[in-house]
Amino acid sequence: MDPKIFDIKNADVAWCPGCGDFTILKTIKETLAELEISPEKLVFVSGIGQAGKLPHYIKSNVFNGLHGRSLPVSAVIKAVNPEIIIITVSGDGCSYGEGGNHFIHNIRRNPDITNIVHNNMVYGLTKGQASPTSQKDFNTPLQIEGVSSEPFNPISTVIALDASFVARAFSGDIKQTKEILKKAIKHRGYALIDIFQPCVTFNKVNTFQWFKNNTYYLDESHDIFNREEAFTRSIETEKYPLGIFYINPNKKTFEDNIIPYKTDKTPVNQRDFNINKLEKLINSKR
Amino acid sequence: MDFIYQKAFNLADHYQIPVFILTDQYFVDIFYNQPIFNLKDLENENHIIKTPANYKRYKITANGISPRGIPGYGEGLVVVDSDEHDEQRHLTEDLELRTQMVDKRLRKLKEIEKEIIPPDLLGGSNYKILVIGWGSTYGPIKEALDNLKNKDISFLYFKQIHPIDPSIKNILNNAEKTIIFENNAQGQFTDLIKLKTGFEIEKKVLKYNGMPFSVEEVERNLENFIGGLTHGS
Repeated sequence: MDPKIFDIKNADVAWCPGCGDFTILKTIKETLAELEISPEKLVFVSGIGQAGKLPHYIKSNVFNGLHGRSLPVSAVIKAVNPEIIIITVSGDGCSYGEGGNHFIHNIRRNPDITNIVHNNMVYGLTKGQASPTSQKDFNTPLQIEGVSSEPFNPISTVIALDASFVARAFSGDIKQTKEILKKAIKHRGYALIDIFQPCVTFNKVNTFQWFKNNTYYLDESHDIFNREEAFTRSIETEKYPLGIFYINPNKKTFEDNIIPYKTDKTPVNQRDFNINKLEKLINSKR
Repeated sequence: MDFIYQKAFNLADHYQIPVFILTDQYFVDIFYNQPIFNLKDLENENHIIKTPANYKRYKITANGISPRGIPGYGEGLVVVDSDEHDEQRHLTEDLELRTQMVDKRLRKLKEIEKEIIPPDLLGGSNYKILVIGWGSTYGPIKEALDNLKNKDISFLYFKQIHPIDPSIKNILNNAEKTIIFENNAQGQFTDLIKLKTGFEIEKKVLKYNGMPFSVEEVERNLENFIGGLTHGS
């Protein structure tokens, strides 16, 4: 499939020249084309932020909703139609800050969705305030004496919650990111891909070169099915590991677990209203 | 039989809007005998369309309603957004288009006004005194009026409190005296009636200690209001 199928003609792209979002968009389009997933089989769900605008630049079904609320919407779209492929995409602020509570409890439910988080360690849309992943002592126009809080570690948080697929990528490496994304989309269950990405305008510390110098890929010696080992690697900060940290292939999905699909796999949005069932339910309460 | 909840779902589906059903602790805590629902009257509307290839989620239409598609049903792509958009879905800062989209959404309100549930008038139509209530005040007011047996008093009960039809002003104008019972501190419905009809209700009885009105309380307030005319004058 030609990735151009996902292009939107005359899209008025609001990102700064050089933004890591461009390469992530290109990587996503190529990944979907190589997996032969056509636009009508997909729903992109996003929140607010520069990353949250990505679905507007890709031809697909889209739900661009409220700040931090992309995951509950994703889980519900998947629940009413498990045949749809869901890609949730938002930034570190939207996903880990505003959406922090949804982020944690969504992992417990384990819906079959792919969650891409653009992590540039800063609030880019609102002009450079510290985000949950901003590093300590990072200076911003708001945190003028530097960030005093510890950065949020999404990778160790989700491994602690036994998330079913956990990975970190770097936007500057299209080839490797594509391989990780393919595995994440094919994985059945919740998949987090935190993607390091430079913000060329508001983060002059964690630049393209900084990410290159401060990351390395997990090699074949890393056992992706070993949760304890994955956790140990996730707390490394001297150099940040990239690649797949952890997979738990044995978890049931949210869609597997909910009552409407226990005996019938027909998506609920394709079922007709059944008055006899309703009558039976009411009578059962007598 | 009226199914208010069902109407709410159908309204939400048809107009693609949120519909709010207000409730309170009295409603959720009371128990009473309820006949089995007659489901034959149930009207389950379906407003989802199979999308054509050139589907426009926010199509500008005469009644303001853009046909609703869902992902995976039809050939079109369905794109919804929380920011202002064009018919197709693209984000826009075009001021002309912005005005057109606001007008489109407000045209739906005109349609919704055609479906307002009118208030119930309990008692005779030749009333001198009109009691107004909404929500969970129904029971105590109804029982108090049954006890008082005063043909001059009728009860105007609102099931729907927004939007309301400005023509209710005629019902209010027919009364010599008007009194409203509300379970809140500021009489918001009294204000809403004034805002929408210009009519000022003479007497507000407000209770906001967290408890519902008792029948005796309503009777006492009515007796004071009408100056001792009680029990089948």
